[in-house]
Amino acid sequence: MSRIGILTRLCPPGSLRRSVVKFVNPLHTFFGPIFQKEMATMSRRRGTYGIRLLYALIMVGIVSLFYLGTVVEGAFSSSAAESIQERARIAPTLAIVIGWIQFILLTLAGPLLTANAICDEKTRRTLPSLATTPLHATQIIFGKLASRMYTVVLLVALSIPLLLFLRVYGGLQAQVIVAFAALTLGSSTLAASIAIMYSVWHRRPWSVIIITALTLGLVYAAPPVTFGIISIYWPGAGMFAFMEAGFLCPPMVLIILTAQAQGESFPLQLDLDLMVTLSVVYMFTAALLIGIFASFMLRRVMLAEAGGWKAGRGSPMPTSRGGRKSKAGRRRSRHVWDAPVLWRETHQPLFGGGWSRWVIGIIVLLAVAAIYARVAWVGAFDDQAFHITIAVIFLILHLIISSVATTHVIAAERDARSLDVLLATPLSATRIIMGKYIGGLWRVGLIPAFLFLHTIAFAMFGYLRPATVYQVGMILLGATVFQTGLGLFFSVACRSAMRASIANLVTGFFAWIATPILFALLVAITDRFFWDLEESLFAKLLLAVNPVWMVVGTMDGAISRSTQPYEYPFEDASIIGYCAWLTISAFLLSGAGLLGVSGATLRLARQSGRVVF
Amino acid sequence: MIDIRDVTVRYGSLVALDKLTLHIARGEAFGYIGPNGAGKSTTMKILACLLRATSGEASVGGLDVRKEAEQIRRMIGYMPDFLGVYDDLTVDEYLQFFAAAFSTPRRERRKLIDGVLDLTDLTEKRHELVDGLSRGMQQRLGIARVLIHDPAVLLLDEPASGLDPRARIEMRELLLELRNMGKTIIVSSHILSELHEMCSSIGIIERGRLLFAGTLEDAFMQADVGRRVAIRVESGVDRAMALLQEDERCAEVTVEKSDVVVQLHPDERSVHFLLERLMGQGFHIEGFTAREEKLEDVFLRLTQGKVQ
Repeated sequence: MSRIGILTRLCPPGSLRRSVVKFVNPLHTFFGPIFQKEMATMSRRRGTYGIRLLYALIMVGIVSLFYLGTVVEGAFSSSAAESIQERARIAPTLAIVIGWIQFILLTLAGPLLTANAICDEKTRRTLPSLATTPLHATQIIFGKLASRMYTVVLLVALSIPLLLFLRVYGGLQAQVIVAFAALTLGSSTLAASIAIMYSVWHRRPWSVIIITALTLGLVYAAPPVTFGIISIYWPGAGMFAFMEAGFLCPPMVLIILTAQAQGESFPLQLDLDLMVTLSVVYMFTAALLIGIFASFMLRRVMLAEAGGWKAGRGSPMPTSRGGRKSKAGRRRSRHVWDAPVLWRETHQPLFGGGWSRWVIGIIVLLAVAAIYARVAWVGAFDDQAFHITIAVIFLILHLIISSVATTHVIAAERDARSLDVLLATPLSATRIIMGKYIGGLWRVGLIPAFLFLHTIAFAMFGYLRPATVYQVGMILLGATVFQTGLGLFFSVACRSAMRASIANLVTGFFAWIATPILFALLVAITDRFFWDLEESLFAKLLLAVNPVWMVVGTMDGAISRSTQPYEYPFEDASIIGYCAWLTISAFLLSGAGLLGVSGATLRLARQSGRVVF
Repeated sequence: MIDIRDVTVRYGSLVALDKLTLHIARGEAFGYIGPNGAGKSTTMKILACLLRATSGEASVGGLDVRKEAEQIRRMIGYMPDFLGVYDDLTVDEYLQFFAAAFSTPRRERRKLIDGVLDLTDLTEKRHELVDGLSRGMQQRLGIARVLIHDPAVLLLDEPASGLDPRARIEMRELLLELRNMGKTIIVSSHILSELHEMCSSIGIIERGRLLFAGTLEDAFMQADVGRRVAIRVESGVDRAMALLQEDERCAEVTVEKSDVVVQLHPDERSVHFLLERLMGQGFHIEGFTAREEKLEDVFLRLTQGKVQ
């Protein structure tokens, strides 16, 4: 049968026309009943307003800090001209910092807002009901996407007046501010659409968040890596590819935009306006196409779920229209340990079903193998940049995964309404929480184990200092215990797993990314008038507990240059001094993380009226 | 076995339980009846040590739910109204999980699991994923779970909700078997006829207030629900009805299909006078059947039909 014939059979001409007309009508697809329902639900949640208020306070706080700095500066400066000059120096930096914080935060917020969109429908078993309505799958997907992006649009809109206000002091041009906002919106929408696509065939929102983070990393990293590879073999072609297709990597576009806004000259003649426009169009088009694909999949999943098929189990997607039940009969029961909570947590997959584990595992392995092969080919195993890149990429990935690995352990039981059954057992709060916590640590162990093995292997072959093994171990220990411990606390404190994940990711973002940037900004604003913040103990401590910062420092000093001391957090630190710093920071972070675990234990004990031990 | 005294639970301005006082004896099967939101689940959660009362006292087996929760948890088996299951476990693993949670010695677990699976007729499904089971089977698994540590008290919140008629009958038979095993059972349900058949006593709660608690007989007495008898006469149904209406021992006489249905006054236990009276007037009796009193009637009378 011809393609047209198949199309006509599946969708009669009149129906097809109606479907197309409905689809292109945004009021129908984006702002239909699902959008209205989601908006009504969101408006009843206090958290919605809380997030908006918090965001507004942060933005206003940053700008107020700047304003305060200028007022103080005005009081101390010898002349008005000097004062204006100083403000003009800082204002663009401040605007750029706000723009970047907003870009990272809202790109992360996109998946956080949409990861549970379809997962929740599965948990509540409402998908079959939706399948019986005349609603089209595109209405469901785009309605949910639009309602969640409404929050992002509001937050972006909130920052624009502040950034424009900074223009009074010589901030960024309005055109650059709009470009920042558009790129941020595009990136957030793209990330959100990827998350909503994964949520169609995953059961657990945290799996969706992790896989979305990995996918987004690949999507954004692929263009520069490709240009790099092309440049190695055909230097001219690499540059040409970058100029023609650089818009495919929005962070890169933002970097170029930032450089230009700061008045730095760029070696290539780029039409930046066109690049920004293309980048924004690319992201929204990609989001639209992903949404359409997700809608197509959703229809099948809805019918399959009604037929007994379970997402996240067996085949990645239902193979027939009606779906089929998972092959439960072939399963064999495993032996449960005497510590049942720990047993269950250690047997829970991080990424959901077996197939996705394999797919992700193979992609990551291929990518890592390609990097190692390339480095081996050029003989650059003693290159700092190689070790720093590996350490930073895997550490950031680990931090993201750690942020959501324990946030669901109690909250998800509450969502699935299995918590009451667990709490009706005589298990003490400590046994429950520690079982969940150790299980969470076990699940996130793969990436740190890889990084640790990388360090051990290169130390054994003499490329890295032996002390690096200890240093990397300390950095990983502190960051992991901190992030997972806090995640566990949020899991007990928050009503839903998604809220807990958002709370922990935001905490991680502020602890590892925003605080050092804001601190640097504070230093820039106040350095001439207050004490030397940059050299203060607080500054050293802030950087010493930052795993990304410290892993860069560690790898920087790790190459066998026995005479060169470490630079962070003190200049000219000896190996022993540096190791001591890392040990202290690991203890501090672990202490904070374990405080979170203790808080979770006490809270659970109090909530359920059970003994702590 | 179970004592609740003046227990009040408030959620903000909402009073979920209002000075509830209840006593349930050992080995009793107590049917807890009430509309949605009446306070049934709240009562069960207090007994399962999952919720603290705003005021009042409650004890299970003489143990205070506030102070001796750990011992109580070992004594009770609680099945919530919505059975949230661990979807990634098999039936066997699910039961092993809870056996381990109750610190059941490892060597005894296999035997216990075999026993409860056999009792709940789930042996065939042993290695199937919990999430793949039908609703009825999941409910039975819920019962198997609460039995895994052999508790003396079972708190079953709507165990038959959402089940098809066959599964309901199976569930009822299972609960009757548990009752015969001497367990103290509190079971809440909307399906009153099922409670009628398997409970020795009932409690009726509405808007947090206990309207009635006692044996079924007491309930019928208190609700003024007399015995009902259906009489089939060969001819002259209207005349027979008029005749019986004159008798002051009959509270209500109606015609249902071709039967004359007589509702006696609650204190009237004998029925032979109906036969004597009709036959004395020359009626030919084709059928004479005592009709079961309905728990629904009791419920409606005691709640005065005001249940929302």
